Amino acid sequence: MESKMFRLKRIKSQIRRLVPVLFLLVGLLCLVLWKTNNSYISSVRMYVLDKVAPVVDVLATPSRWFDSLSEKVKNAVFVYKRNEALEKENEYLRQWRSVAIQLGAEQQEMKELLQYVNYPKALSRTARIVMDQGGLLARGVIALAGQTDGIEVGAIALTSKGLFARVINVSPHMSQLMPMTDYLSRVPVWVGKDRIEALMIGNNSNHPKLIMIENPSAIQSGDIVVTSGYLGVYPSGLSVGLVGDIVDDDIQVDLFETGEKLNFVRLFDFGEKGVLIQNECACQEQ
Amino acid sequence: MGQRVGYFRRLLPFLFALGLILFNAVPAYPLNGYFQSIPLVLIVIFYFAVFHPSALNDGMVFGLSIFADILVQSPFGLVIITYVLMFFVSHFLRSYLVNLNFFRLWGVFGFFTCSILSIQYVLFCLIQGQWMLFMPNMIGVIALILLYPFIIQMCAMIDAYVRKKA
Repeated sequence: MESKMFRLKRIKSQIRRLVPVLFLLVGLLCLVLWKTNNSYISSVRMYVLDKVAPVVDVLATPSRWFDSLSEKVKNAVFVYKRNEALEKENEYLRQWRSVAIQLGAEQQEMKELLQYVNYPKALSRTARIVMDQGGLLARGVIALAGQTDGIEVGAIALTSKGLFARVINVSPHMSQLMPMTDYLSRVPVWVGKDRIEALMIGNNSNHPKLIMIENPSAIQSGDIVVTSGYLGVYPSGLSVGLVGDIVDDDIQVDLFETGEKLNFVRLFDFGEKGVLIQNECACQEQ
Repeated sequence: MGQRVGYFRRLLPFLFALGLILFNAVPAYPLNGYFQSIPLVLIVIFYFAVFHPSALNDGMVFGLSIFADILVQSPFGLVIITYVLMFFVSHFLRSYLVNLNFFRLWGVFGFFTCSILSIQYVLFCLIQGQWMLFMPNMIGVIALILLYPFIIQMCAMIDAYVRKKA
């Protein structure tokens, strides 16, 4: 009897030793599942994020408070210097104001003459960033606006500086954003005045790279990068950044909006789903 | 009441690790232009796997890893592998590690972290089908190793509280 108990205990301890191996196998299985069909996992993720994000929002309050305090202190210290710079900038901008008014009137006239069809007015919502979960290899930004606010997959997140991200998942109250810095981000862009076509790919740093460039030798450091609107995911003309360092074929972009100290974003739904809809259809067919 | 306190005390390492995961999700500043949330939980897992495995057992580590994996946008399963591997290796070498002094243990943790996160990086690249920038990974690993003394101090305090008799 005793030996039977002892044997049972031994088997139990041996099984117990195997548990971490089992967990590792589960992890590998999850990876395979994610690779083959991640739509189910994404929906589970969004469900959990929907519940967790308000908690993180509360946890982030001291951080936000500290951030605004440091900003106020910084402003107070540099108020004289900043005022001087702003006065100079204001003087310069005043010269351009009259030019802009004249050009605006001319453009309006031209549009009327050509019967130009404007972009449909986009639905816009301002949302607070509640989570910025950057793993070692990926970054997930969560904004506090979801399906109940009219946000859908494919909406664009803009800030005062320019394009920041795209909505890739939505739950009733949250949206998951994929910043342009993300390794999976692909943005069709135009570079410079000549509108050279290229594709900007994220690499999880502040400096995404340009690939598939129409005419690489024509690109110079400091050229402006805007969305081209190809593939129908981003509307054309959204400012992205400036061309940064160029080393051989490696052309980097210095983004206008990197997402640092970002508290709010504006989510716009231009109704451009392009590639997204095709992908979703393909998934459903599969 | 006493029973509830005892229950809370036993769960404290798990709650601490959970808090760190949630704290990691708070919007933070980038390190040298690379967006990072340093996986501080790895230090907690390492500490308890070596010094008090029953306070944060494999099941709890697995639960934590699933939760962390859900929060991160990386391929699902990568964080599970990382956390469980850290627990497994540390627990397996426990009898050796428990006798090391602080600095040697720090070195061993650094070695484990580099190895496990390198495995994570390779797996990630294999899944994506392309080699990604190694720099963000490197900066995160260095920051994690540098923060080791602070987190380990907290873990030791929690461990002392857990071991204290009611």
